[in-house]
Amino acid sequence: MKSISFKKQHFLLVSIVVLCLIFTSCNKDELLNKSPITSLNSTNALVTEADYTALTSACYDPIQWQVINGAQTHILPVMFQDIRADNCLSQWASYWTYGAVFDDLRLIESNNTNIAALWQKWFTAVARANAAMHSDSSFKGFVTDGLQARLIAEAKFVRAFAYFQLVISFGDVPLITSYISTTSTNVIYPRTPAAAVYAQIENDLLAAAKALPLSYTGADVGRATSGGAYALLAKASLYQKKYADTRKYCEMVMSSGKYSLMPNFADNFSQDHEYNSEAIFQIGYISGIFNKPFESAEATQNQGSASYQMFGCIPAGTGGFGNCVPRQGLIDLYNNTDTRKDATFIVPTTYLNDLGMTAYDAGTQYYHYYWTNPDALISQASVRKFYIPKSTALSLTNLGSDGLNENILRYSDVLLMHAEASAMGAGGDGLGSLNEVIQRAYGGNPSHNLTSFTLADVKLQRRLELATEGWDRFTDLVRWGDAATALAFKHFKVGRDEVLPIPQGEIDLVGAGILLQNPGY
Amino acid sequence: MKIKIYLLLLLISCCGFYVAQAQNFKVTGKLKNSVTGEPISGATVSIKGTKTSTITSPMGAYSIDAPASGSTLVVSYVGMKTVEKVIPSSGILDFTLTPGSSDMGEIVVIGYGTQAKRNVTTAISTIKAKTIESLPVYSLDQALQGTAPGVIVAQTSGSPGAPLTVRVRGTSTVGNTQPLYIVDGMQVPNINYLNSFDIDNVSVLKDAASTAIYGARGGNGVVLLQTKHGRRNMQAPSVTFDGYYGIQNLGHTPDLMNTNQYVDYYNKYAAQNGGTPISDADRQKLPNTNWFNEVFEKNAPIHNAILSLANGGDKYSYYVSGSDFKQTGMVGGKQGKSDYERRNLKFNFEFDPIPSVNINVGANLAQQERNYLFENTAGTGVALMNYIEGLPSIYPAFDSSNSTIPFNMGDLSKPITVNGVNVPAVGAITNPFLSLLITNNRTLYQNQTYHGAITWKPVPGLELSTSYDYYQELATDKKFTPQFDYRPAQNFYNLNASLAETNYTNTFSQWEGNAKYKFKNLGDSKLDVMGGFTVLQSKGSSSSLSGAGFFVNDFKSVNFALMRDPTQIVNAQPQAYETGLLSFYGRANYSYKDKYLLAATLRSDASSLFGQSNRAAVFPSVSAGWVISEESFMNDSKFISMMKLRASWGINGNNFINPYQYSTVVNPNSGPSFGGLNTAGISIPYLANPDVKWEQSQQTDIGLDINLFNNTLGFTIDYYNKKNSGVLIPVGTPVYTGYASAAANVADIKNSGIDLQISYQKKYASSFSWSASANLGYNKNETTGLGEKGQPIPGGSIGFIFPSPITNTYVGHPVASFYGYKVEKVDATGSMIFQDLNKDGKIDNNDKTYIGSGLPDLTYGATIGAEYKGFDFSAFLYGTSGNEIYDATVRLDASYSNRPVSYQDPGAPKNVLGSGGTGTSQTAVSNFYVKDGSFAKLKTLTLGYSLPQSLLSHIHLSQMRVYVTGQNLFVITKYKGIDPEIGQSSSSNTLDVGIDRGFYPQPVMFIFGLQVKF
Repeated sequence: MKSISFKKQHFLLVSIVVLCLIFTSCNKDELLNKSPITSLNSTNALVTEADYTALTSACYDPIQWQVINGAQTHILPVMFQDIRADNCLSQWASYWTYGAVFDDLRLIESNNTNIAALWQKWFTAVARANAAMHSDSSFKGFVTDGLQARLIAEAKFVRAFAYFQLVISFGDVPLITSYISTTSTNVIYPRTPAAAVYAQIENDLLAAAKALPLSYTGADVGRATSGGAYALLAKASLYQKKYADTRKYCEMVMSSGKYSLMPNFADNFSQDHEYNSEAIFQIGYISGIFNKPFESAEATQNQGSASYQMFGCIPAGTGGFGNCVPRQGLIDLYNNTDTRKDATFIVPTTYLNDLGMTAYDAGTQYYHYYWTNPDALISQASVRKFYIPKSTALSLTNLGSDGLNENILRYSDVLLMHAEASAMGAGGDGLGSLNEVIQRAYGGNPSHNLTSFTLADVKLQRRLELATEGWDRFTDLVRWGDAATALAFKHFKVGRDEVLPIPQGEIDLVGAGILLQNPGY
Repeated sequence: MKIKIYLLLLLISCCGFYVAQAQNFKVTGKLKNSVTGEPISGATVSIKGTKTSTITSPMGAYSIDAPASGSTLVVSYVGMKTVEKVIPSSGILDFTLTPGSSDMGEIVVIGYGTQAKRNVTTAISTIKAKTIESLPVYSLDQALQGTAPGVIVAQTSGSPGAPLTVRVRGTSTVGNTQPLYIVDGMQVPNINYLNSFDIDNVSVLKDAASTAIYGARGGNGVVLLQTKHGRRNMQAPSVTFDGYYGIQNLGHTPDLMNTNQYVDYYNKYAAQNGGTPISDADRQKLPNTNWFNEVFEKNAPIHNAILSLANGGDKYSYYVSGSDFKQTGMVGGKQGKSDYERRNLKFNFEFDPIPSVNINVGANLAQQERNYLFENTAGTGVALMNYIEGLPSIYPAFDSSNSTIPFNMGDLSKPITVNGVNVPAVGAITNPFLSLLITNNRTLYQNQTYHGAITWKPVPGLELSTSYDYYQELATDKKFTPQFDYRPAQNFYNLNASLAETNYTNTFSQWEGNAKYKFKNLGDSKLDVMGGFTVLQSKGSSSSLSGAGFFVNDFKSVNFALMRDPTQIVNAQPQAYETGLLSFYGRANYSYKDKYLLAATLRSDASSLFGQSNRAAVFPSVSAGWVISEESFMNDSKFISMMKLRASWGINGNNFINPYQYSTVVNPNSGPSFGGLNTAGISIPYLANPDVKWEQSQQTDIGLDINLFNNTLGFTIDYYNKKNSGVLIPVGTPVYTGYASAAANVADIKNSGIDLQISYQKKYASSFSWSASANLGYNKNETTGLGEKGQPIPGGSIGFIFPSPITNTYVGHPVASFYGYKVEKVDATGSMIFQDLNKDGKIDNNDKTYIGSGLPDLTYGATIGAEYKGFDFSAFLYGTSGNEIYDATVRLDASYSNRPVSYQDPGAPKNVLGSGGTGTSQTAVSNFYVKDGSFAKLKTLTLGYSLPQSLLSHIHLSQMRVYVTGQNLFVITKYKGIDPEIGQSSSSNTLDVGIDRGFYPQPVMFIFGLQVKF
């Protein structure tokens, strides 16, 4: 060190001191403990009752999903009911491989990504409901009277609805009713028998029906109601052939005084009459640039509906896909004076009195190159229940994000369930309920009313009334035992096609010995 | 910021200790070539062990201030052997240099320091400024292509400013595979902002022993870049101009059906499926549109201009440069839809306030503007490159009465007629001129880096330094779809213009301190040690606005202030993150008799990306070398100049993963709508994995360096075996839990291979010299484990055409292997019959298998150069071998889309022109679409001429060279698509590699350049 001058030593000392100062000034905890900035962690996210309301609202969110993972999967309800059954066909196989699978039941395989997405959609709703119930129950800071009970009841309703969809789609499914918080939780579940799943659904719905209000106002309209819970209970009972229960729950809805049929059938499918007196449970969709475009990866929140673009629109310049073509056999079932016919289909002769449209704007032979599927060429039709006026369509920023709500449970469905239970020996004025539906279909004219009825009449009216809405046809056929005959032309295989395959990825993950595959897949 | 203030204090304090230094001693002399006897200009003369250096004049003369006689002068010049001589008391010292490789005297930049190449015991590839300057590249990572063995650089596209995929020694993770970029000691997220002319040298650290000093960030390899700086004791400021201008054109086009062939194919389909054929008379009326010729513009310009100034005195040096680079695209370039422009300003200044202290400050400012098209996508409306390959030539490009209106061949509202002929409507794809019209994408980047460092050498051998670096990137991305209505001529319209603007910021700040000490008087042993710390913080954020309906309708003037209803502006959910890293590191280099070399490093990293339990980790490495040529038994070998055997081992990590995975995060974006209003919804997207940690990479490397025949022939070979474990993949969470799978450290990936480099240079008395070098990287990539519950990872989807994912990552095969059926034969009906691999009598998912990989086994580069009396010539060839391409350019989903000519051959798949192939064997992922992607490309061919010194001195220039370069002049490949050079679909998607959906090919380019030094 002899070569170092005094000043140099001085410099060394100062430098070391300065370096130490800098180093100690750097806060190690501040450097290494970083909290999320634009997302929240579970401790700071849930503070007020509004946060818990948002947590519960998120349970409903999966119900509106039409895609998961962008364009990679499609899970529009109509695929799994009307197209999979005998009401519609997917026609544009070349555009839409996802739907084409349901035109021929043999093509349904356990690696189908859309079926995996359907599984994911409903189980996401279940998980969110479990998380909401868990958090809502333990939060002490509710200030609004009854809010806590209502939020828990809403979560129960959503969980029951999701499990109902799962059990009618897949049969036995893993039944999870508790909140899973970390990866260290055991997540290996076998499939629970359908009967136990139904029991859970009924428990949840009975509890929900007692705690939920009859109706809502303002920005809460559309949330689960007690009427919704009873209507779903009726349907769950019907699928279990518990006809007395079906009748009982239907009559709870009918006597609530809240519901009535819309005089004009078509109004159920109009943006001018959303949340109407017939609507028991709807999916709320909103159009516009506030919403994520269809098929974008984020299109799983606050979204519009793509049903118009996918199904409800003939490509008259507004770029629709016409992916759901009603079969001629379905169209022919309607009397020409049945107002439901015109409200359900756009056919070559349909005149859409709409902005600058000509008769050609409906499906006609002018779309010579359009109809590629021979069955589609026969009907050349399109579904009308998802149709929005062209003037509305033109004002959309994104055609794949329209604002037309979709019906899940309508009052006419309840009346038809009531009639069916009655036909199956549960008693009650089933004929009255059935005639109420028929009379409305003919614009209030009772001339088509029946004087007596059988199950066959109910089956027909169910099909005519609910066609193309996406929630009933296939599983109705299965529960009636009619699927083998009605769907023979689509190669329906008894013992296999009643339910969808459990996604192969789940079986691979959990173990084939634990999560059993459905027979035939 | 506290750190900044302290740094300032430190700066002030050291200036305060400015002390005048001792008197100097002037040395002068001349340099000449031992063979030709000509003076050598531009050689570096430096005083050994100091920073003092100078450069010889055009007449080969130098003058330098030495501390005293008795110290040593070192003279080095490219292509000549480095010579050292002790300064005599006369102060006059001449040198005669002999040609030969000076490689071993070369200094190599390593992590946190430099090392004589001769003592390096790890696997490092270096690229010098001269090589970079000879390649007309817009981005520096391009210069790594074919110049550093073991580094794979794939251009995701040839479009101006397109990002590149860079991988060092294979794909070692399914996540981010990008190497760590360190520019002048500072971590940066990418190097696009750099002007390649400003780069002095690049070191690619490949083995674990060289990268372990970067610990948790080094697992993907490290690319160290040093930018240029001035030199001390220059006799005059050096001003350099370097510029070129060039034109670009489309090279190869795929062999697609022309009108005649297409009509034949169409008629065949119509005959089989009951349609109306097109008559021979009608056929004559149809156009024969070549969509490539229509869309690709001719002679798209490219230019680059760089001006730099460097100077240095006894105690300071500086470097200033400015540049402007612009490349216009071949598609939409004239409309400004595709181009890339970068402007740079760089400044560096270093000085010694007192002899033992050096202060270095610098800044680099860059502005980049990129207008881009969507590509390698099959997306709706905008996938222009895909449409060019998919559209039959029977349609005109424009309306017959108005040549500015694109023809709508997909209009389903009326029959399509062309020149009175009824033709089919094309499904799913559209006119590329419509895509061009609706595509207006621009990203503007502003990059700033600032650098400040103090180095102090209090005693000989000890060096203390501290530095502060700051990097910032601000980017604004603007996307606009104008309003237009071409009805009734053509049914194309958009009645509501829309605009989206996204702002990104990305900053890194780094503070480092380290100490180096070189021990003296250890006899035959040499030992130096180094230790230090790093504090690194990064922040990122993004926010975006979107809206529709504007008072103006052009991309340039549209902005949110001009929205008709500003209340309708949508403010998207902003995103932001912060991370921190605290590290300590150390290294020791030991050598005995310069024969036995040993080095060891250790690094400890603590990162905010991980939970408490896995926050910190230690990464060790050791390496050793044996310089065999120093042994007595090799001493008198006539032809071996140097021979060194190396071996290294080490562990490092990969922390390029998403933050916050260890904690439960709540996602506020999950609302439904009630009562006609959007409702807030919050949900938990995935289960927290408190055990998440970095991926670990362990690598062994054995290398041999041999220099032969007076260092004229050099040879380096390395074998490596790199095992990555704990690769993060989603795992273990069944979907029925309702959560996305948490990522867990369970997968294992192995890369092994050989890097080989050979170089030869020879100078003759006639002033002719030539050189050749070749390098080759062989890599074998394999997924060796997915953990107990790990699932194969699908990737590379084109849902419209193929319902199944195209790639799969699973045990026993390379990452992102093509996965599908093997075609046994095409039967008489044109159906592909797949092999029943498991012999269960049916064809299902269980019969899918490995059918190829987009990753090459072999990448190679070869350069040959020659010089003679001012003329220079060089050629650079680059190629890959063993990689496949999944050709997904045929739009099976789009009815009546075009097909390659080969679809008419016997044995071609069934003609499904009008119905699409859905549900048929054609839309199953199979090896029918897997093509050999090997290629060899003549990347550059350059001919230059430098004016002789005698002429230059009259015009007061020290150097002037003109040159012409051809780029991508030819390609040898079996691949029939537009360009076999295809990387990932996007630089972030590791699992989507080698899939051709139609993309922007590399242009064939001719450039004319001028280099002048004043």
